[in-house]
Amino acid sequence: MNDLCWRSLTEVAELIRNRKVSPVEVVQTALERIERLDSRLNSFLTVLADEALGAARQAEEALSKRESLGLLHGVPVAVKDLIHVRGARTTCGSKIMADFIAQEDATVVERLRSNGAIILGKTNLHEFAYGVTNVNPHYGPARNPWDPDRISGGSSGGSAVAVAAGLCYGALGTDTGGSIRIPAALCGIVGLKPTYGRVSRYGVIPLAWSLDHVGPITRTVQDAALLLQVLSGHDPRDPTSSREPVPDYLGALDGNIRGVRVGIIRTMMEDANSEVRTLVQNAVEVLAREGAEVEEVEIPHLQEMRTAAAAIAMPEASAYHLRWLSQRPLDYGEDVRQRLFVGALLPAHVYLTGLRARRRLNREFHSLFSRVDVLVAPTVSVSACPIGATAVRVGGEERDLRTAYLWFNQVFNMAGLPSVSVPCGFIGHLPVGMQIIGRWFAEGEILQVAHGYAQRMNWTNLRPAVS
Amino acid sequence: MDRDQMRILAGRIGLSIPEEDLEAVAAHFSTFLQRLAAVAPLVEDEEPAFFPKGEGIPR
Repeated sequence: MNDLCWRSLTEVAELIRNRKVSPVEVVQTALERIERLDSRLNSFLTVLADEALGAARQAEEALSKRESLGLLHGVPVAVKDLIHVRGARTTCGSKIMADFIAQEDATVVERLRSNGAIILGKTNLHEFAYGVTNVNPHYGPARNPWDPDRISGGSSGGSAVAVAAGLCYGALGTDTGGSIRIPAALCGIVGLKPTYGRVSRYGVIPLAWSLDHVGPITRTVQDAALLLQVLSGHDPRDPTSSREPVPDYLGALDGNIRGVRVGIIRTMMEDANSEVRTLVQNAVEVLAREGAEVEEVEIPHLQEMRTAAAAIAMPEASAYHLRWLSQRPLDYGEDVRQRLFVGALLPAHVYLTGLRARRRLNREFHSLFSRVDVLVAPTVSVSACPIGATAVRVGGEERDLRTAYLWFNQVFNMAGLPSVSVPCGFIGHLPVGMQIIGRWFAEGEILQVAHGYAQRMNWTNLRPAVS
Repeated sequence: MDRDQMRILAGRIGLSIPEEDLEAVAAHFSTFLQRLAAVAPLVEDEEPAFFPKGEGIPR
């Protein structure tokens, strides 16, 4: 099948289920593409070729006996390399954990496998997920398939690159301040950060416990819904896992957005560069034409809430890393090491100020969601910058990279709200994204709006330069 | 906070900041505390919310 690698995850699952294509052919195609393209893209840190082919043969055998292994029967997916896959390395993109072999699967990997998915490999990331560029000093940068001299975004950059370049059908990422949505936006694909507690974090190396989320990175909104269906649900091994019932995300997805109340976050639009702002405005006009009711809204004290998010993130990250920071500081890359030192030295009142601000922010969002059903904002303020850049221009102002890319994301982690980034166009040859944020546990609603938009625009049908 | 103060503070919790990091860490630390000063007045009446889940989340 010629275009097998570009079929969506949903399509390839159906092709396998209907025996139009074999899992072995699907996995071999993915492995051949990794072999051919990934020396340029650097999206995988570990390729589990033998294991994946073995699993594909088992999946094929099951099909021949008319057994179904689940929704993802025979579909190859990739996993960010801070999520444990039994018997494989979990490097976290670090020197410190370079030789760590996981003894068990993370819950999300168990769920993928129990639904028939095949784990193709472990993907590149910003060291310990603590950064937005995915320029990794130990393993090299993940490169943007639209322009390999530019960043993929991070920290789940390898996952986004692998999906965008057609090396796999979907991947797992983690998101503490935008790390699923940012690389998805910069690579022109879909990234979903679910509600805090919706998807288990067991078996995932933390960055910041109260901000970390695990979620899917895919080429279509439907694929994100399908993966979320598989990943969601209570896990007694994660103390923050929710018992909220899991709805039928995929079944409810018809793209009808008539009457949905959409709030555009004014300050975030103003803070994006003009090209990004125009693309998001165009996207909002599409939503309005499809029957959505659009109004402008504001998140009060947004700048202070961003600071508060960092006041939570930095001490949590440093608390996890304190022993290594004390014993092996020079084994960290410079950027991560310096951030960890700052977080370690902040006094306790800083952290508590962040936690107190979280309560206020939750209340502000609760109030906002009494007026609107979803919020819309740019995912990033600029498109992907060249690898090695330390600052970008947004409007007339020079901003450091972390600010430019994290700016529109952290507050939704702080409140634990679900948010999905979908492609909304290109600046030159580089994609950018729009994010749609919903009430707690309203993943179905944000996926519906994202699907309503995406199926009219088809940005993900375009192919990147390296593919 | 200057480089020496930073070094002393780190030493108190068993950390040794490499010489080449001292300036950047001190600058980031000071800037961050300045920014945080704008947050404190907004949260005077708030109790901490340790996790996003279960606290202020409508069901």
